[in-house]
Amino acid sequence: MTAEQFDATFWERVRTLFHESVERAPEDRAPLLDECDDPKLRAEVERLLAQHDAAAGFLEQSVWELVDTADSKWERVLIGPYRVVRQLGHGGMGTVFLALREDAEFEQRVAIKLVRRGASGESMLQRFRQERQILAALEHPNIAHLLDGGTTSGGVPYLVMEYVEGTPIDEYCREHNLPIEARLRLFLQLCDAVQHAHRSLVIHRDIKPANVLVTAEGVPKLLDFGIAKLTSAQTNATATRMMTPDYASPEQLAGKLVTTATDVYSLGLLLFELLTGKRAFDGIQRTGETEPPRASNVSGMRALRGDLDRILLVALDPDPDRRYASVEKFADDVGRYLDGHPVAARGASLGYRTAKFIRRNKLFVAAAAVAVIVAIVAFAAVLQQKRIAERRFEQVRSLAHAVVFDLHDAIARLPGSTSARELLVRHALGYLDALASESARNTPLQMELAGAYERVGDVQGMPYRANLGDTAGALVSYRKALTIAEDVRKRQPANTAALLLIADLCDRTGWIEQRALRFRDALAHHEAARAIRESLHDQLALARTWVAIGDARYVGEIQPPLVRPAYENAVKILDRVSPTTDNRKDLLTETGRVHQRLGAYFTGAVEHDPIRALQHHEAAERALEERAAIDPNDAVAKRNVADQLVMTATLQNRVGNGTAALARTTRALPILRDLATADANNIEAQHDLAFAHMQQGLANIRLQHWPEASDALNAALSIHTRLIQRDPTNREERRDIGSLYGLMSNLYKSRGDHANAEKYARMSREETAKLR
Amino acid sequence: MSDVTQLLREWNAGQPEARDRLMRLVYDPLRAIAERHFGREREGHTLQPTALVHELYVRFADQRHVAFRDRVHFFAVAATVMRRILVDHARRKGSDKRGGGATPLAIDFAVDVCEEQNFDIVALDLALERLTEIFPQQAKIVELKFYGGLTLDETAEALGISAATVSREWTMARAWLRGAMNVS
Repeated sequence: MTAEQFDATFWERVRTLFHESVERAPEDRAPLLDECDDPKLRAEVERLLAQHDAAAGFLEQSVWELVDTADSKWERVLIGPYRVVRQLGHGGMGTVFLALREDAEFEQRVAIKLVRRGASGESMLQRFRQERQILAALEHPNIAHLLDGGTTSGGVPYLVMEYVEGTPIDEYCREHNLPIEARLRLFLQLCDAVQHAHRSLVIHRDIKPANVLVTAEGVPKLLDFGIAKLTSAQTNATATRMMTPDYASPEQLAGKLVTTATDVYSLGLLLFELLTGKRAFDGIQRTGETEPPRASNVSGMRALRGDLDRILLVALDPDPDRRYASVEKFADDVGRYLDGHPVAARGASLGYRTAKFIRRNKLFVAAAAVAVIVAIVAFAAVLQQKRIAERRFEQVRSLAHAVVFDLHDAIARLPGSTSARELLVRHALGYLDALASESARNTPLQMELAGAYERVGDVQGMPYRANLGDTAGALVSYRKALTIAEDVRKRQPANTAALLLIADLCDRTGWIEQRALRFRDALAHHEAARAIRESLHDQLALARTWVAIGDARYVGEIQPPLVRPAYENAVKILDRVSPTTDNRKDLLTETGRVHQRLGAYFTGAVEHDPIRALQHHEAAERALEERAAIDPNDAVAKRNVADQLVMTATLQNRVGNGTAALARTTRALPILRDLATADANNIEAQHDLAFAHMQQGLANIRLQHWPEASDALNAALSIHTRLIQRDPTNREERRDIGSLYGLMSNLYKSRGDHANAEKYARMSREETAKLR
Repeated sequence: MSDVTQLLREWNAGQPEARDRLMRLVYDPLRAIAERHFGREREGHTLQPTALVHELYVRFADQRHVAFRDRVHFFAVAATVMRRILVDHARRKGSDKRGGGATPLAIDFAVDVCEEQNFDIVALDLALERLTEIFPQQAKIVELKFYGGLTLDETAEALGISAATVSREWTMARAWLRGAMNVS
């Protein structure tokens, strides 16, 4: 039958009659249907009722549930170019399939590991790809080779490995009833494989009998090298949980850093089992401090007593530092036992430990380098899961908090981290935003949100710090933060945190206004910040605000006589602050900054005094260099020194000491160039570099080094030209271009090239005109 | 990224082309979600499809400016798109027996599973099309429940009708579809 042959009225009647009938038991429906005068109608309803009575289960499950409850039928499935033959296993890390390469000319059997879910996300995949390359380079006859890898069209990462047909090593030893010596020789081949991997800095992390297959030819093959790390890199905590607990090292159980010593331990457990036929800690509730039992006691085998017992005790020491320093040493000792030589395990010597110490620290450094990345990936993964799961308000909030505040601050001082910071903060901000809209009256949450907006603003365009050059965006973010904080202040006028935040936001807004040459607006903001700070106890911040007030007045030429008092207020406040370990860095930075400003002030027209200016600049150089010496790796501190050098150079240029100026720009330029290269998105760094080039150009003009001067000025110009394309409304940029053209004009004039001098003078005038 | 919101509004305002653009916008991300869901392993199977779709929605929509009705509509769109995805795959599977190398993994698996349960995705689609002509509301209910994975209450909420109505119309839609699909 087809539906189209009836009209809407007919179907409406079908519907009514069906609903009335269906509520009755089948035997009670007849009277109702008998009342129906249209046989077609009745037939249709009866047909529907019959279907209804037989429809139990039909469409009951959604398509999602259908798939959930179905048995896995992976046979039909293709993973990349591989056709799945059957499922080999299923573990904590993912599902393993036997597969055939579809497009191969010869039949190639491979094992494919589909990586457990949760390991998705772009950063994760990228990491996955990098790791894969390392693993693919591991070539050893006793290591099952990693052949390929990729992601399915659904984004699930997979690894393709050499398919090993064999028996797990423990079974193999049992089945063949191997003597101790043969077991040890098998074990040594395994050690050689692990050692090979350690030389490539790959740690297995999950050595256990099931991961060591012995082929029919008697060759042991270690499977899944480094896979544990790849498949569980989300967090250390989950990595530990995914470990087979029976074979995990104490440090894995404790969620601590995994090193090559971890593999030594797992190899020890494996050897224990091979020799005794029992697991070392079978049925023992184990903590990180549990000492291993003696193999001879567990098995009752006298042959194990003595050296083999001792070898195992050293390999299984709960303290990684007291274990064999390497798999090689472990294997050496086993080899000595086989050769009948005395084993090192008889007296764990001091020499060992020293070597061990050095080795461990080397690994530690390498691990620290990736720690930040791992932390970010971990947080992203956790956040993702939290969002999908029930909305546990407090959890999401605290995670977002951790990302915005702790992680952000942790990486803020690393050079080159600007984009990463923005990504991080934006991500977390999304969560806070959603949360805030649910609870507008929740003061702590509102404060957090305001704080988060502040961080976003900082990354977008806070002057004096690495930023993305989006000053308009930064102002919007600060404005949002301010609105929220002011709201809190209205409700709780004495809330110090809110007051502090408002003052900070006012200063930040002011700094941006200054950059945009809107000095009166800037001054108003800084004065507002000062008024709040007078009532608070943060003297350093108050000094900083006074500096900003001085800046706005000085550069904006607003009541110039008030400039010096502003700076001097800052100096007075800073002189009163007693240095502590906590504030020492900031104190030095602020002191450097004020003297820098006073140096600039005495260079200017209000009170022109080059001698005092130089004194202040020298004071600034001392403070800033002392600051930078505290943390030689601190990019910001280094940059401050470079800035100061450029400023002193500027002054020396003005007083005509080209040699002194050149010496300083020459010192500053490499630092600034490094900073600009490390973080190409950081406008501030580009800006500073351009300015330093300009000063170098000036110094060279003074010294009449014409080609060098021209090179330096052109270097500055090319940077500014690039910057103004990114931010066409930036007035300061345009002003700088204008001055550079002016300098080029002077340069040509000095060389007697009047045509070019006139050309650049005209270009300079045009740029200046655009400013009005 | 608030494109979806805008399109939903336009669709609400009676612009049918917004719906098509929406479909195109949502199709691929949703397919990826389905891939992930279907490709997942057993122990992870606690997530509701609605949670996954919600995740997608959050990714698209700028939450602050979205009325609740939009969100619900989004689920409706997602269900429609999910239907489209499955039918596309079922059809393609019928026409070329794994012609291309890059056959998506999990969606095909889902189609297979449906087939194994004597469930013809294409036949259901055709039957649903006919049901839409007669009882559009019933067809919508089926779509939300079967493809969208919405519960009865969620379906009621999405359509702005009572749960009792959903339950009744669902009963009839099932009977009707079963007949139309000639399920034995």
